[in-house]
Formats: sequence, structure tokens, C-alpha cells
Amino acid sequence: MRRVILFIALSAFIAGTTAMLAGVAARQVPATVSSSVSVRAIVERPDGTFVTGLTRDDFDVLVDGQPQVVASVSEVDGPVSVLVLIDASASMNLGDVASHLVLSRAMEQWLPFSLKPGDRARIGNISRRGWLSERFTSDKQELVRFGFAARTVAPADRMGPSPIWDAIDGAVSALEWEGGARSILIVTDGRATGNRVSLKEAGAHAMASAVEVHVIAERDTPIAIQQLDGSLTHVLPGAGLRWLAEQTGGSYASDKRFPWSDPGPLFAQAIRRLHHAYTVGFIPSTPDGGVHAIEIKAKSPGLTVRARKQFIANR
Amino acid sequence: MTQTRVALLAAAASLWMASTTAQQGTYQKAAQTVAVYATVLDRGGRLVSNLTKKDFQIFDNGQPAEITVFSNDQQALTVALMLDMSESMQSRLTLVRESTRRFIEALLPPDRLRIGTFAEEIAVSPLLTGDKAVLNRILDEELWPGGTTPLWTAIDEAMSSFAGETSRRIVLTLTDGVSTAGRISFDHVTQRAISDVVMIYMVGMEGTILGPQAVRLADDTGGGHFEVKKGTTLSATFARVADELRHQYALGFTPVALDGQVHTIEVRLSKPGLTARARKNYLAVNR
Repeated sequence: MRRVILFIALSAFIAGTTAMLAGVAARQVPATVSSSVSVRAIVERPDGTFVTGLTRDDFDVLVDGQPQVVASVSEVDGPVSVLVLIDASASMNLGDVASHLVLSRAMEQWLPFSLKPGDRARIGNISRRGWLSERFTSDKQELVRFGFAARTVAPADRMGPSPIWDAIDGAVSALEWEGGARSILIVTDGRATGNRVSLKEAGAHAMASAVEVHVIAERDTPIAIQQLDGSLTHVLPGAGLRWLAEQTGGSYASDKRFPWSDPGPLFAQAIRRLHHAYTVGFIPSTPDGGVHAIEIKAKSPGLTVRARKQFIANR
Repeated sequence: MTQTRVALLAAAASLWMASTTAQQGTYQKAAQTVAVYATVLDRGGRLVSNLTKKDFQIFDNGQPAEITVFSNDQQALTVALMLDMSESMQSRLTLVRESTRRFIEALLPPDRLRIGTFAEEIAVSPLLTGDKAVLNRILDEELWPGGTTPLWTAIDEAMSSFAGETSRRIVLTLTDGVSTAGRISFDHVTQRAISDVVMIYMVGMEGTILGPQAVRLADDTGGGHFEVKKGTTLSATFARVADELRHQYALGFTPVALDGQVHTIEVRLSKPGLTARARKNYLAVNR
């Protein structure tokens, strides 16, 4: 299977230059038509396969709980921009050779070869100093190099803090100049510390900028700890990340603790999602310039729709 | 007038930690003042806050020094609160969170707090703020139990977080044990606290005993050490620390010589039955 992916990816890479240029040309700045709103939506079956061929009759759009008229629905598979964030802090257990190897394989093989021609990626890490590659690129060799740099963190810089929300907030800003579908793919254990912005602020920024957050969570194991007074307190490192993924129309996948996890296939699945989306267009009934709650549903039962939960209703 | 004196003292304090040439120039005259914050207690351990300048004497390397700055105004808090989140503290997570929440609620408008944690990682919030919503948000989002106790490294990181800060700086550390990990030694932390003029307060959880090094660090820096005992609560201990910090006397004196050596400081009181707690050393350099 991996050889097939490798072959497809290499073929894509050879044809890449022309397609990349075409892809860049095809990028569109988000619509500025006064009051129309377009929201990306990914529709999946319970087994994770993508649903294609849907039309506007297959969707319900609710704004602040009120049904809206769906103006258009189209399938989109243009180039995407993805900013990959690797949590390199001590709690991620990346210090041993085995863990290093599984993440290396994900970053050097699964990630670059899952991207389609014209897709652009940028890589950063979450650590004491934080690091972000200098640019988005479609060059796979460059991505491998950036991936290596993101994983090469001095031991002292791994010892905390882990400003996950700040990193996501910064990544949203970095994506704002990118056209097309924009996403963050983050590998983390969710133990956020030392943040300037809150989880909610980072989420609001992502939603306002139409940036999806796709999460690969390491060892998402809720812990119940008995307290001195006999009560139980629950430690849920994945809760904030789940919320963020759900609110932004992204996805959340968890895996075992490194090195027993292999995030590679999860990288590939997250990037496949970016290429299997619909654009759902509607004209909000209250174009007041404010932030509104939005819910996009598929009329057919059993389907999951991933779409952001807020939008700004331009005047 | 008193406010002017406090401002002068703050400037003097800032000088002792100043690192840039520009700052040296700005506070050249204030450089001759050494800042000392003193907590005064009566025999019953109660705070005494109504003394005047004439009640104090300061000795620099055993020699009487003239007190050039004095204030008994209520002091604002600038605190880095470092919470031990190591494995052994897990069963106290709720207690620590709720006690800290009450500490936050008791902050006054000029007070500023920074929350940090130490265990598997050391995380000091970049936000030094009096905004209670922000502090409660950090408390709710950023406490993750599990790991070792890098006590000295955590205190060192807390001191680093004060870079550029000119007010009285306090590191308040809550722990249930001794340092078991980290790259920073006790000696380094002690020297730095003296050099940077940072006051260290140590609070030991119920059922634990603060190690002798933790006690010494608090004593040498003019801070305090408390152990939460049966019948008292962590909230009450935090409140006691805050009360003590608000009612410290701000003193200043001119050093006998800027010889680059560590000098001893002794604060004495003329009234019987009272004791003063203040830092015991300073580094006599003209920065």
C-alpha cells in the first residue's frame, strides 16, 4: 500500500511543477461579495469514507438556529495550504529513538507524499522558543528539511512551556495570506501551558479566518484522579483539542503514546479530508457584520458534516 | 512624599537588577541605594505595620547604615506563583486550583500575578497581570499533573520571567517536596535571587516538610516559609502571605562600599518583642 502511495506521490511530484503553477493561479481569495457566505463542509460516512455527489437539496443550514436558504453547493478539490505543527515538548515523549523514528517517517514520507501538486505546506514546532519554517512550499525536499528542523529541538527547549493555543493562533495568522482551503494539522498531547491567548480566542481566530484545525492527538487518555477529599477530578488533555477541531470544521484523531503510535496514516487521512470538501453557499438573513453560529447538516441520516461553527455575516 | 520615596526605592531596586548601560545612566544616583523590604512580627507572630523610620536600624556588613528611604504604605504585589504539579501533588489538584482561585479573587487593583507550574515540564505564563478572568483561565486550562519536581529550575525560570520588571518581585512556590530534577542547582538559585533582588516564599503542603535548603532560600532572600498544617488551609496560608507582602516596610540605605562583594544586611528594631525579617545579603556592585 505504501509503495502505491509512494508511486502516486512520485508521479505527482514529477508532474508537480506545472500543476503547482496552475494551482497557484487557481487560488482564490475568499469571496468578498457583500453578503454571501461560503463555508467549507466535509461529509463523511461512519466508516470515514467521503460522500460525494451531494447537491444543495442534501444540506440544511441553520444560522443562530434559524433555517437559511442554501444558494449553492459545489464540490471543491483545489490546492490546499496546510500548516503542520509538531508539539516538541517533553510531555510528548519524543526523546527516544523509536519515537523519533515514527515521527520522522510521518513527516518525511506520509506528509509530503500525501499532498497533491499545487498544495503548499509550512512546518513549525511547539516548544519553549517555537519555530516556524520561513515559507509555505510545494517542494517535497524542502518539506522534509523543514520537518527535520521542526523536530530538532534542544533538550532545554523541550522542558516547557507548551503554548499550543498561541501556536495555533500564530498559524492562523500565517495562513491568512494563503488562498484556497486553509488548514492547520497539529500533532500534540493537548497539555497546553504558557499561552498568551486562550483556547477560545485561538478558536475564534481560526473560525473568523476560515482555517480548519485537524488534530492528531498523542495518548488521549482521560485520567480520573482521586482527591484528598475523596472526590474525583478528571484530567482531559484532549478536550480542548476536540472542541477546537469541532468548532473549526476540522477533525480529531487520537493515537497511542509514542512510539507505539504511527501518526503517518492519520496525516494522510487528514490531508485527504482537505481534498474532499463541499462549498456551501448561502445569504444570511441577518447581514449585520456580527459573529453568528452556523450549523450545516446533511439531510441523510448517519452522515457527519465537518464545518466551522461560526461565521461573520458581512454587511 | 511617601509615594515619591517608594518610587525612588523601586528605581533603586530596579538598578540592582538592571543590565543595560542605558539603565545604569538613568539611575546613576539611585545606584547608591540598596532596597530592603522588611516584615515585622510581634511575639505572637502577628504582623506589625505601624512602625516609623526611627524604629529601624540597618547594618551593612555589621556597620550601621543610614536609612535613606522609608515607607510603610501598603505595597502592591508582583508575584510569580509556582505550583508544584508533580506526581505526588495529583491528589491535591482540586485543592491547589481552588485555593489559587481564592488568592486571585483577593488581588487588589495594583496587584499583578503570574502563574507557573512545574513537573514534567516547567511552564511560566508570559502574562503578569491583575486581570482575574485571564488568571482564572490559566488556572482552568494550564494545570497538568504528573512528573518529577524540578524545584530549583522552576524558581530560576520564575525569576527569569521578571526580566525588565522594576517593582518588588516575589516568587511564591507551592510544593510538597524537595527538588528531584532539573538543570539548576540550589546554589545557583540562591546567588541569583540575591543578585536579582527577588524574594522567595515557600509554602509546603500539609503532611510534608520543606527541606532545609528551601527554608534557607526563603530566609536569605527576605521571604518566608510556611507549612500548611492540620487545622489551617492552603487558602488561609496564601492569604497570610499576601497580607504579609502588602504590609512590608520598604527601606533603603547607602552601601558602605561598592566593592563587588556579597555584604550581610541586618535589620534591627528598637522596640522590644518585635522581630524583622528581611533579606540577609546583597551584592555590592555599581551596575
